[in-house]
Amino acid sequence: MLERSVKHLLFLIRSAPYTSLRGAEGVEAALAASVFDQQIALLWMDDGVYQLLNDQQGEALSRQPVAKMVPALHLYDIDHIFVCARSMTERGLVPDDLVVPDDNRSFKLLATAEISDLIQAQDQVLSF
Amino acid sequence: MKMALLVLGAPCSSQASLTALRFAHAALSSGHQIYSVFFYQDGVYCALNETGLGNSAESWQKLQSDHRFDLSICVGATQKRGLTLPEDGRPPQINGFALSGLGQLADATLQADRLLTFGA
Repeated sequence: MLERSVKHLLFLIRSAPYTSLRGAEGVEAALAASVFDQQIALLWMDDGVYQLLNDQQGEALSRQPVAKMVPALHLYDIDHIFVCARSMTERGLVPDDLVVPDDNRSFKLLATAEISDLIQAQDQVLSF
Repeated sequence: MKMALLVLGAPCSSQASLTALRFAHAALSSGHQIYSVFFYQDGVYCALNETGLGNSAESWQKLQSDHRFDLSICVGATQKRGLTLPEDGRPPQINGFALSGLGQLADATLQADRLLTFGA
């Protein structure tokens, strides 16, 4: 357990959109935590990468896609946004398939070993 | 060690609540402290009346009365799932579970040494 004044919190988003609210509510929990001036990181992996697909029309299911919230993340001081590279490859996805966070930012694609390092560096990890 | 638990599964469709309860019992027996248990997403259904499965309101209340930790359910998740909230102005709760927000969960991540998620 690392002793430091700013806690590092990692939110793993592993659930597909629309099948359940789990992934979307996980992002909401990250936004709520961002109010507390700690370091928040978001990592989309496994079926969670589908949350970030461009051109979703969630309104057809009365749902707001998580992808639409992504450009606003930096307004919550959430700048550490990662995507699991292997999860993308397994699903036949490439970075161009994903929503763009904004003009100055992009998702950082992480290899499996880098994900291990990221998790090691956290104070808490929450999985959705 | 001071622990926080996050329960995301409903009593009958998931093992989350029962596993979390058993874990809490074991942790407390081993001398650890439970700081809070937060019920989010489908976990809010755990605040409903006991179903005979040993993992709903009564089981959690009993543990909490012996060990005094925060027992909270997310009010947003509760409303989204159509659970009826008490109408009077007392501190809002359902069956002894305090109605709370995601800020409470964030507080638990900061206060506890470890946060464990059940049902994800």
